[in-house]
Amino acid sequence: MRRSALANGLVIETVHLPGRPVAVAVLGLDVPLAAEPPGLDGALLAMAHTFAEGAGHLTSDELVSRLARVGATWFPGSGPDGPRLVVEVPTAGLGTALQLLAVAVAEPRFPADAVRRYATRTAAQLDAYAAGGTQVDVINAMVDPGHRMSRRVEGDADSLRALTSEALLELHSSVVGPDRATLIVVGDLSTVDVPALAERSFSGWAARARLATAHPAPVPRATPRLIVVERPGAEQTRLALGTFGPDRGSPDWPALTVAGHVLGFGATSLINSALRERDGYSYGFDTRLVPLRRGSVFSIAGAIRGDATPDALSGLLDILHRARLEGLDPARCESARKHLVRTMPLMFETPRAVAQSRAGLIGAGLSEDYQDAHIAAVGAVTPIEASEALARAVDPAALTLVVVGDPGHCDPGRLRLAMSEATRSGRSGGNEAAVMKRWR
Amino acid sequence: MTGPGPGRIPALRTRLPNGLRVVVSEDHTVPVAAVNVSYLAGSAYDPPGGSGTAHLTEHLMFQGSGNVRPGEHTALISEQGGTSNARTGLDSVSYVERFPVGALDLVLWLEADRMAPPTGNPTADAVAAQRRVVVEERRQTERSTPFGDLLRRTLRLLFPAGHPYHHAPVGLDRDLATVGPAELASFRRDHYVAGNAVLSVVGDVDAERVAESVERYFAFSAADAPARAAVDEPAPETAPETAPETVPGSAGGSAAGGEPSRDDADGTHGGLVQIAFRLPPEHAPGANASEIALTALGAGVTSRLHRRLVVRDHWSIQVAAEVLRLAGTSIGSVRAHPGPGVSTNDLETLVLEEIDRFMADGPGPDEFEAAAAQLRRTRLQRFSSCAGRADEFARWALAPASLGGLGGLGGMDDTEPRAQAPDLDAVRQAAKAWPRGRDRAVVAYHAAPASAWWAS
Repeated sequence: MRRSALANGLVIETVHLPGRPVAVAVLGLDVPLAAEPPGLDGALLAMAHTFAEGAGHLTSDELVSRLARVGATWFPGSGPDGPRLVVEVPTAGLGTALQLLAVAVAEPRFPADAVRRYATRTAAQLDAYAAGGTQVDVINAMVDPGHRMSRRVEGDADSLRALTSEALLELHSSVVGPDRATLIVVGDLSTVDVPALAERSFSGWAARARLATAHPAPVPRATPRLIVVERPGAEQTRLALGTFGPDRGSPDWPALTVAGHVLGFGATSLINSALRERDGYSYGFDTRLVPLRRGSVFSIAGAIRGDATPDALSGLLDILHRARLEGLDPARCESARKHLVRTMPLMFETPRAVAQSRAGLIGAGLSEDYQDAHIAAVGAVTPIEASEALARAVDPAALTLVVVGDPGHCDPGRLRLAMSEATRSGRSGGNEAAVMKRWR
Repeated sequence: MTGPGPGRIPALRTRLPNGLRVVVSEDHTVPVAAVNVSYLAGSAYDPPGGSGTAHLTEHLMFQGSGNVRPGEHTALISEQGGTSNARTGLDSVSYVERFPVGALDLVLWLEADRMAPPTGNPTADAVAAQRRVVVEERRQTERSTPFGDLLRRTLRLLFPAGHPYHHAPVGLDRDLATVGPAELASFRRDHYVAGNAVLSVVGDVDAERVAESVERYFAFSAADAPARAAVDEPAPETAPETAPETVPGSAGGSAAGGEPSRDDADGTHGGLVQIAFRLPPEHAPGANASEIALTALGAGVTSRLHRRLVVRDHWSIQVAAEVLRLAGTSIGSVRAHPGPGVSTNDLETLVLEEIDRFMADGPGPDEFEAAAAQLRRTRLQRFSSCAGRADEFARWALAPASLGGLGGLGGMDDTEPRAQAPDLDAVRQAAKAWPRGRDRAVVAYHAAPASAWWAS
């Protein structure tokens, strides 16, 4: 791995992976969602999606045709630090692709028609695909409504409707610049000089005075919530549970990494061996410990047979409750610890995997040696430490729940009773509860 | 020049006396490896009335083997830092492990234990539990996911009842209910034999040493491999009487008239129209040309459908095109989501017009160049990971020789047919040969068109 920087502040990181002819370039922009103007939720993602719609002297058609001819593909997206562009291209086309990337990000046009098309498509997709009951939904539900993280990255129908070319141009000129950007390039770089290519392409991108763009830590809501979204006729119920967890700098972080793995990773984890393999309630639950810029989110989500909703919820909470009370099985902790330490080489197999991993760490503001230190720390975690970290981080009686399903399966009273019994907490009405007819 | 393909990547190929085909390819970039064991036992081999049998069998293959307890296969590999998974396709079922290379012997031993002839039937409890899991899997992927039943609907239109590709791997609940321990044991006994499988190993390994380990672990006695499903039979009622330049297994080039076969559904998640048709088998000559043509027509922002229907006319908010690669006859599909104020029916008419126009004229030179470059990249990427390369080797070794595959390992030193880059003319000819009329299948999801809100 090599690092350098251009005079305008753009940081360039390269990783050479021999024998990998398709390079991956990630341009990450350090711009928090909080920089979006009021009422324009989704503006940053819209920007990422419309960078390729014409820039500098190039029309959209010219730009995408040139990319396509060198075999490049282009994925807009967002990371923990802000919008991101990912380009995958055979190394022979890397020079062309970087030039086009530079023009797109430095001199975008955001044509009105393209912004409108993006907004229309995204609003329709939100309508069709945002079924609710996912990890994203539970994170939104946990955060104080005054914080941007309480709302979707994509925005909603109203904010998308309000997006204009002018608004994106203004936002771009006020918050996007090379001194807040990182370019990561991974692949077989034996025949290309990436820093030289980057110098040629990006050195004309001028840094400008901009608004301050700090990343505010999310403010949790005062009380955990139970949110029931009614979907009459749904065969399955989607359950999502979440809580805020420790920061990556915390000594609990490596221990909680191990505990999360024991609970929810794969078909043999505690949750899946009960709810999937034993009970057949679900195709599988997904447990995640997702780091934020500061702090983290611990969440569990999955779909279950509708008529088993209260039983499955009890079962799930009972697993968490017992783990907290009795500790985790030491053999399972050992097995998880070994997996986490030994799996490292798999994260370096492809340019895509390496680039994603580097972009995630840089986006979270972590240093170059973080990953090695983290794995070393995970390797030293004892079963007792894993159990204690879990007990501190995850109180099953204090989880926020999003439940999406048929009203006959998701009666809030029954769900609260199931929660209260499983956690022996007496949690039965003290929490804010909301029943919605429709998500949003 | 299309970069590496199985024919150019060095690999050790051998066949054990029991018929097991073995491919080993070294890649020393990173100290990891992938093992892929593929059996010609996909949903095309489900017994009549037993749709979902192949897929349920896949689930039960994680419920223990001769020397391994239920769940232990996954747990042992996980402890070594690896992951294991499986998927059931129409042609084959693949068991795939990715792991740090130190776990190689363990993984080979586990796969051998799983391939060894079972000593008894699965228990009724294990079958019942996995059947419940599969029912939830189907509800989640097919019914709770927008347009999740698209594949099922498409297959039903393109392949007549009784054709091996008529149904989707996940099966029907009513069929699954009839599949018990005896049926599963019989399916496994018939299809999970060495002569019906390919073992492919790719990674930071010494090929000769892997071959030795494989000979040691997989030394079962031979059992007869079952007959290959008739995946390449054209649909009887739609077979063209004269088919100029017909490639095996394809109804291509048909002059079939009439209206497309169709399936209309309620679009609870919005509108969508998909037009699908048969294409040459994945390894046949002509497959590459057809895929380039389909990419030029509808895949990505440089495609003709995107430029015209999305950017220029706003009839659609999103288009897509893809090839489902199958050994017998691949499936090409074009999808479009209606734009505000546009009905699915109107969009269908527009997409069909564009397809007809495209078939008549073919892609322009720029469209051809862009599509060919996109496919070259995706191909290079498939061969750039151990698991991807192992999968390509397995697919090729399992595909019948009559349809461009190896049907074994015999021709593996030859240059792969698909690696020969077609020129613009070949791509135009391929598009001209796409099925028309009733040999097209339309699946349409109808929803009330959204209003054009920006106009207000």
